[in-house]
Amino acid sequence: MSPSRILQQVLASAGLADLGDRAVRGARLARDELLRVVSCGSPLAAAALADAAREHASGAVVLHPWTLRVRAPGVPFAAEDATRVSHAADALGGIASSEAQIVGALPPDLPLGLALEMVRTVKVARPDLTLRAFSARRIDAIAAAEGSDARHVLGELRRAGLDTLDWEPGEGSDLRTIAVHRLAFDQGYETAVPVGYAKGGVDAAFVDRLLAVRDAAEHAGRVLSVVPLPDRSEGASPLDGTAGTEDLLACALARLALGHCVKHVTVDAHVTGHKLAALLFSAGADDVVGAQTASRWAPPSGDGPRPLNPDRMRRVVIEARRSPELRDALFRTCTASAG
Amino acid sequence: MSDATAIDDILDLAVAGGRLTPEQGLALLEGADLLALGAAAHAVRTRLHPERVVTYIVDRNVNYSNVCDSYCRFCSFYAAPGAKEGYVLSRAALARKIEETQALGGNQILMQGGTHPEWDVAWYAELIAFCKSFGVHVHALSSPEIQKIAAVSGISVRETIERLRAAGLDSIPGGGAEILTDYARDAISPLKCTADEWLEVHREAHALGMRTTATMMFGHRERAVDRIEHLDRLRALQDDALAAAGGRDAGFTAFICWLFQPTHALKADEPAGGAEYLRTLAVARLYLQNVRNFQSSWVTMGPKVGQAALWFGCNDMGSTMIEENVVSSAGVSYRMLSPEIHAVIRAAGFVPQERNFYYEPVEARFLDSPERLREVVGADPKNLALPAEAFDQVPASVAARR
Ligand code: SF4
Repeated sequence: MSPSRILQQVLASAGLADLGDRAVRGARLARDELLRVVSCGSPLAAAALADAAREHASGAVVLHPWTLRVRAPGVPFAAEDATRVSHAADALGGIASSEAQIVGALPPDLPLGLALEMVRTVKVARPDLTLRAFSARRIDAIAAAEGSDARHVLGELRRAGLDTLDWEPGEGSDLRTIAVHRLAFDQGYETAVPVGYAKGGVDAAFVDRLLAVRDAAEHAGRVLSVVPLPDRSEGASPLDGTAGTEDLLACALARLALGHCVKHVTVDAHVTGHKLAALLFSAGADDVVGAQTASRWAPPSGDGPRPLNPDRMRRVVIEARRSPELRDALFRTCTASAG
Repeated sequence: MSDATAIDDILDLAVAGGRLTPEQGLALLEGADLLALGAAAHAVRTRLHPERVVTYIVDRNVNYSNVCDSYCRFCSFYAAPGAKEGYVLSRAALARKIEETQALGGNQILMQGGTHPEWDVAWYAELIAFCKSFGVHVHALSSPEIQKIAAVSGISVRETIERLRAAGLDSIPGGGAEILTDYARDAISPLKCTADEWLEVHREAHALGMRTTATMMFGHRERAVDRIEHLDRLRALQDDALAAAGGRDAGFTAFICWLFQPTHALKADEPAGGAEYLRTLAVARLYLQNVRNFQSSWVTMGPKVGQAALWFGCNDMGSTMIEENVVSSAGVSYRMLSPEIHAVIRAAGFVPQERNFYYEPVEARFLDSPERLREVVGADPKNLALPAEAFDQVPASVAARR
């Protein structure tokens, strides 16, 4: 649907009127066009373009997983030990969820063996759930600790049952993240790719990282989503963190850069907070993570906004005039499973 | 005519300065696209304030007492009369808070408490006179408190305000409005003053030439029609104030709306989030064009949504909230001082300007170091729990004085 009359006026005064029709058709924008959006000076104009493109891609639907967060320290990771595995199954079972995620402070030199054990334990305990774990940065760290390479680590984790990669704040601000995800595609993964930015960093370099993801998506076709990712969570001092208007622009650029190549733009409400996330559903986002199901091994993580329970997340989506649909870690719509 | 065309027409009308009917307001609240509302609200804001400036004030929210017999269902702040949690600030504590505020560059206190069953106008006049003796602007006592004081004292609302004003009361805050319909008030605050009584206080204050502020707290038990009726009643009252003032600015200086925080006291049926806040804010800006200034409620929504609100009709970032007890009792505790509020306004694309209560520009005074902050705050640092980095950005004029 075309933007309303007032939004067409906003686009015209921001010098973006010529992009409106293309956004409505979901066409991706070229680099110079994206840079015009960056410098247009109107967050509303950028959002209006992205919202039209989102509507073309997803209609009113906003996807969201119910995430069973498994906190790494404390889980008895020992898949070969039947007693401990059944302990894990007891602890993780019975909680209606649509994906599992391994979270928590892991040692910087986490050995690959332990990472594999974690994956196997969770997959044995909850075979019904797809598993999201380990950021690209973590994959590199495991490879460094092993003296091997990211390709090898990704392959081993894949064979252990890992379904897709995770991300972490501060990640995705260089091309290495995208390179690791490309290696993951070679190993058969589909992933949501984070594209990070810091305060004042929604600029040409950010656009170039988005275009690198677009290039990867065109070649491999395995990019599930792009995650525009501020480097600090909502609770950071405003002197350090990104502005809400920067987050809005970053989200809009992600949608406009990817066009038909990538269907989804994900908001990480753990980082942005759910209040801002609700606005980003009008700036190109059609997917949100941040609904956490309960687990005694998964208390809310330290800093940042408190996770929402799944019911509240649904209501945040509905209140933003969107239709929530549950998905798994691979963006397939599903129903919640209690294992 | 399609729904979309009808909405477009209403938005055009509002942007051109036309007066919305309640039906049109409701149509926007329920059916308009969020970004279109934002764009229209920003156009109205730009017509009223063409300059790209966002103002803010350095002040302190002082809650002189939490003793209250109104028992609002949403409130986590009050203590019943006689309860051991009840407090009344001593004069020494009040003095310290005011002096700290002045040392932090503020020249206003926003002072509110509960409705006390025994304190009369003489008690409050003394309280106000004490605060005024420091030379600050005293923005104090919301409608429910003034109605209660009048009832306890056995005098009219007009006389109550006159006596408080004579003691030093400068202006009246819009607290306690929540939603100005009987339906909503019966649901959440049945013992507090009625909608008519809330409006009466402001009408009397305006008639005396005083300025006041208007508020709306939404997202609890009210319906969309209640929000519109609330705006309609405020608009009518402001019409009267402006008509009586014969062309001068009068009545409400500003409108501030915020979301009910369903954390502790009262569970909302539907939690209102950022989208609903911005939607309602934008509709309010379009509906209430006779009130010049709109404040962003970053205290409840956080700085990020607070920044977005500057593109949805707001021209003011409100108060630095040196101290805030009522909202933080509900589990929400965003807080900023001048350097942060400057950074937030600039990052959203605007130029920050410190102001006084009347929205007149004043020269910004930053704290010049974290040490200075500690010195000012003394033994009560939790009131000003700011990171040391907050004071890295200081204007050259201040740096030169170091
Ligand atoms: S909101 Fe105000 S009037 Fe109501 S109980 Fe709390 S302090 Fe009293």
